[in-house]
Amino acid sequence: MSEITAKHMRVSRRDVMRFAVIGGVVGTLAGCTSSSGPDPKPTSPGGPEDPDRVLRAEIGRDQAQMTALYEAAEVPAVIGAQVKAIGERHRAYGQAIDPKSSGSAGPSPAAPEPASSPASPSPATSAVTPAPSTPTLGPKGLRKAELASSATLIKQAGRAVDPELARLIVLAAAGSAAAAESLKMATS
Amino acid sequence: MSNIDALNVALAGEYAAIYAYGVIGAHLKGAEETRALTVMAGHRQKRDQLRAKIIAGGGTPVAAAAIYDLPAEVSTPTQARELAALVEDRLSGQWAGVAAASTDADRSTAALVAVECSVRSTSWNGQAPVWPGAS
Repeated sequence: MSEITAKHMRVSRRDVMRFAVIGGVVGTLAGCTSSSGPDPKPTSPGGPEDPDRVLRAEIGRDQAQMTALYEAAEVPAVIGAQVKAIGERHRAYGQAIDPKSSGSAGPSPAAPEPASSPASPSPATSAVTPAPSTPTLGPKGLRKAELASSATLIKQAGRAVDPELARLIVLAAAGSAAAAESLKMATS
Repeated sequence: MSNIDALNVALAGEYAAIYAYGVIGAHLKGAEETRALTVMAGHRQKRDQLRAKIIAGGGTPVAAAAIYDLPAEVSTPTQARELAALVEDRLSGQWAGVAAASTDADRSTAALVAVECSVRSTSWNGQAPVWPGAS
């Protein structure tokens, strides 16, 4: 008999985290098997050799902005804990997809900068308190933000070079859409 | 995982979902029963699309199992909703696997299906897992 819960079909949380860590390495090794170029350099997700580093940094910033939206949100006390728990997922998404992220909603240190650009101020300050421009949203506004975040993640998944990063991004998109549904149910 | 392998994993998941929704619908009434049957029809469509895509790609579609074990007893509407949520959650992860093994428009299409499954899972039991497919 075949179980509906067949183990080989599962994606465990541990798997997701493992993929986040080793995805870049695997992608690089796969590419090297058909390359006659110089020896591969060890790489890590978000590192200088990671072809997805710009995408990772972009998603890291997006997720930090979602976290900031939840921190600044005003919701009825009766669903406050639920909404807070829903918002926490964006911190997890940002850390899994962009491990080098500081969790800041400001410019990412992983983003490439022109060699001649002046030193920019540290983005670390905005990780502590929401940026002044962060709007104060209620449940409906958060739901709209979740739906927009999910749609953006789907587009971003299409740009991922590393298939395992693509899977991680799609799972985050699915989690955001599920969060929107949960917010809708909590307020209906 | 190759594209064909990922498609076959999703196909096996769709077979299981079709079976499960037969059980789920039998324990729901009214609008919920209608919804379960509508969703089951949607999963049949996905099954057929997956089979066609696997064959077109030169692969062999996996066969449905003759019988499936349910992960828990289903004898009440609440248990039926929980099973529906579980099935959809797992499918979300499987379709994310299809997206990972695909490129361009195929990746976007599979990603949208993963999102749809995740939303349906939440709509059945109100739970929104951080990482769909991890249950």
